[in-house]
Amino acid sequence: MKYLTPEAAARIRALKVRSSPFRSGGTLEGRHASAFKKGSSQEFSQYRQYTAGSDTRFLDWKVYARSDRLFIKEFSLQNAVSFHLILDSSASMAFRGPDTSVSKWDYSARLALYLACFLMARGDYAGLTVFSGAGTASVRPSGDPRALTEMDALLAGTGPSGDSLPPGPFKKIAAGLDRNSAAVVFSDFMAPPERLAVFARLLSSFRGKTRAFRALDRAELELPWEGNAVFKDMETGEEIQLSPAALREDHGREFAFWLKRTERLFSVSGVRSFTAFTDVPPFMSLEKLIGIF
Amino acid sequence: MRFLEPSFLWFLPLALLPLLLNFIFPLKPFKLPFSSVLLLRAVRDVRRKKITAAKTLILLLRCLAILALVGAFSRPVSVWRFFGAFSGLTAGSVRPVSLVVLADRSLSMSAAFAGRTRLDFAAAAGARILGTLGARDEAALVFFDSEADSGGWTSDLPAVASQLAAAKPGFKGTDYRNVLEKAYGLLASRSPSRRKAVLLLSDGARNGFASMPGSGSLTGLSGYDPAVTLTGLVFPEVPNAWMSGAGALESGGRARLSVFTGSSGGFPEKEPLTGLYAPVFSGSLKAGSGGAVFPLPAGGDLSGRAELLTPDALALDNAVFFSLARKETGSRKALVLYTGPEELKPGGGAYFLKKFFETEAGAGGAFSADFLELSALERLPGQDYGALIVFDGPVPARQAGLILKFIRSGGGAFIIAGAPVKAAAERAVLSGLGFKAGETLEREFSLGFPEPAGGFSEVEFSGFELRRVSAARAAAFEAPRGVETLWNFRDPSGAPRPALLGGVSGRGRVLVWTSSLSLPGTDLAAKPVFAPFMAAILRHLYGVRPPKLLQARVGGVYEGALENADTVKVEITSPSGVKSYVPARNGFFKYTLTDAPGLYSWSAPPESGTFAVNLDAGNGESDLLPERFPPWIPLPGGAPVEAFKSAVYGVEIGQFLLFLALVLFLAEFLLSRRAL
Repeated sequence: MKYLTPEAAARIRALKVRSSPFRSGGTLEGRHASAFKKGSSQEFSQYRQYTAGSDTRFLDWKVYARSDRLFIKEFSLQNAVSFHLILDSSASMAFRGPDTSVSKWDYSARLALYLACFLMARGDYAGLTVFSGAGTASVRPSGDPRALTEMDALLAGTGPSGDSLPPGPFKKIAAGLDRNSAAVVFSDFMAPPERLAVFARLLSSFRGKTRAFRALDRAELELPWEGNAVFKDMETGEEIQLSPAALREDHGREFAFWLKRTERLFSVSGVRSFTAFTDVPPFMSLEKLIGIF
Repeated sequence: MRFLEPSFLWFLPLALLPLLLNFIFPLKPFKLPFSSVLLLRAVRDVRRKKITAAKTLILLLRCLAILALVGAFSRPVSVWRFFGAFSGLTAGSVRPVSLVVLADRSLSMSAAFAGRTRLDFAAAAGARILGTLGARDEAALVFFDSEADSGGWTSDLPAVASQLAAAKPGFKGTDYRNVLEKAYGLLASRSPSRRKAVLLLSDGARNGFASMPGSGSLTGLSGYDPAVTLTGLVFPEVPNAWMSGAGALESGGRARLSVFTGSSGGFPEKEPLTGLYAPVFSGSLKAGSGGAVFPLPAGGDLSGRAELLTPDALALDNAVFFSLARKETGSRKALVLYTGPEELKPGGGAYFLKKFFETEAGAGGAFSADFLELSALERLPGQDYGALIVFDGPVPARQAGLILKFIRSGGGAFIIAGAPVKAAAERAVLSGLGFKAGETLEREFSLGFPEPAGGFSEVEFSGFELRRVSAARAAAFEAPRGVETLWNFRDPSGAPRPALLGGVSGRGRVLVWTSSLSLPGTDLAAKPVFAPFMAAILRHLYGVRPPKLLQARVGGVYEGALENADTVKVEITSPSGVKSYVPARNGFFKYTLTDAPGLYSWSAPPESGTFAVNLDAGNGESDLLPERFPPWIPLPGGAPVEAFKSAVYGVEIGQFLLFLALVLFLAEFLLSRRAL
């Protein structure tokens, strides 16, 4: 897989073992599904090798007849949470600064896959949706680790393009979310203010919990280039000629002001957000992302 | 401005290089895909004006820096003293210098400055400047004050410096126009390849510019050459007080000396004390109240000096010399001999005379008189009387004889002959004096001014309307030899008729008034002019001369008068003791060697006298305030040599421009880093 290596998956699963904020209920008000608790849910979860003392009521005789081996059926609890990981695949996400090795898209994709792996490892469901002005694609929420492969393939095959945060597609996405699910949006949120305001309203209308992760490249803040440059907008194609050094200071101030403005917008909309630059190690961002749940 | 390496100026167009590179060959910007230009656009719009201004300034700095660099290599030379602070380099001269040194020896150069006279200080500065000249340079020295000496070119600069050192200031004023034109004339004769300069060793006295054309500009001077560098010293303002003159006046029959002072530069308001020094005094007199007027004791001629006692910068103008000529007699009593009591009645001649003498007595005047009826004159009037006033008419022979004897023995007589007489023989006194009576004219006469040769000063009567004095009667006389008309009446046609005749008889003096003093005859006695008229008559009779100052100005001509018209030679001794001789003719002599102020004595036995020579205070030389904006490059007293060199040769400012170029490049670099 491109974004989730076996080593990373193992590390994430170990992360799951170490931290158990969800056992005590966390922010999901105790309605989180635990991997160690299996109830008489109508939903089949997985097979487990029969061990002495296991409840024989859940022996799958059909599997025994076929394979002459004894397996116990396990079922998830009735009120399990589905996490919808929504990635912004607009053109601006493809930006990569001169001093970074990954683009915002790659960074966000990796982080989203890490989160999905983490959620599945603890027994939650995770689904993935990528959307932009160019279109939408998704993987249904699942607790099956094999879904991670599908997600990886989807992410690897998606090239960022199109406009950021188009309201139409996101409305449909939001409509598809039920109240027992949670949403995490991965984006740079570099959209015109009016579109951002619409997006925030849509997020706030969602009845489940919503979190936002903003991926930024440090070059977008620091403008590390010298000389005279023509900056071309990756989404609109608009070109601006200027000297980065001349505007560096003012741009820095304006950028910080924009970050705060966006955070306030999300905060007012009831969405907790977290921003990270792409030069921060993904696992560090993952821990912090988990921390805002 | 000139350049020592002008060939580098061909690189000046390089200063346009930044503009060319910026507008014609601009650097291509590199293209950069960016996530969103929303923020960039907002920031750029806000900073657009500042960025444009910064870019323009940077271009300008680049152009100026290149300009300064090219200028530095071309080694420009400036005469602007401002650059002296940045560069000690005086551009070497490949051209020899022709320098005219104008040394001021006017009176003001005697003023004290830095422990010596201004001329000494100036001469020392001039010598130092001459010492900077080279073997190929030349100088011409011209001394001047109100006149200018001639000067000649020489390469023997030490000799010029010696002449300067030996110079002494004089007593004359200052004329810059004259000497500057002479300087331009001298320089015009030099080769154009030589650098031409003038060094004015003067204090820039304001009075020296009085003759300058127009607004004091040099361009109006004859021979003016703009290529000539004109330099001059600078002296500070100094307050000064001086004696500007003296005057003689007579008050109450006594001569007094008044002196006048002047001051400039904020000299203390309190009038400086003056003292009077004269041979007859052993000490000094303080000035009288109301001004510096000195009462003088009775006596004859008096000479001395009046001096300011307050020290100041210029001592030579603190004294004024005077030589006062006067003649006063001890006895000033007259005897009025009237014909009868009618004369004493109001309107009579004796009545008016009595009023005159009573007024004189009340005013403390010098003249007094006794009145005696003519017929009561029994014996010769004594030595107490200096003059007789006689109403001529039917004088008895005895009295006539006594009067004539009095006159011939040295007394004076004022004979009023205007009374109508029946027969010429009744004019006994006049007949005895040699007058032959003619017709008495009865018509309207008016009185004019006295004749110039009469010895009466027209000034005394200048405030009176003499034409309004009328006489109805004037007797005509054929005067004897030695008697002449001193004053005339004018008849309606303007023709003169003798009013006052005067002359000498024996040792005495005689004045004959052809009209009367009584009102029917004339209204003279009723007019205000009667008092000065009688005073003049009496002074004439007594031989009293009004005080007069015998003086001349420094550099002027003194004209002296001799009593003996036959004298042919007069010896004159100057204040320094130098004797000289001048010819005399018809009782007059002229003396021109008035170079120094002081008392000069003359001798032409048996006559002798003194006269004073004083400074010409009217030339403004004592005003030590300099011209505020003289038309020459000022050389400060502290460093005249350096200032002269930078004025004449100029200062090379290549180093300054190099420094400027570095500063501009640094500024451009810093601004580029920050703004671009």
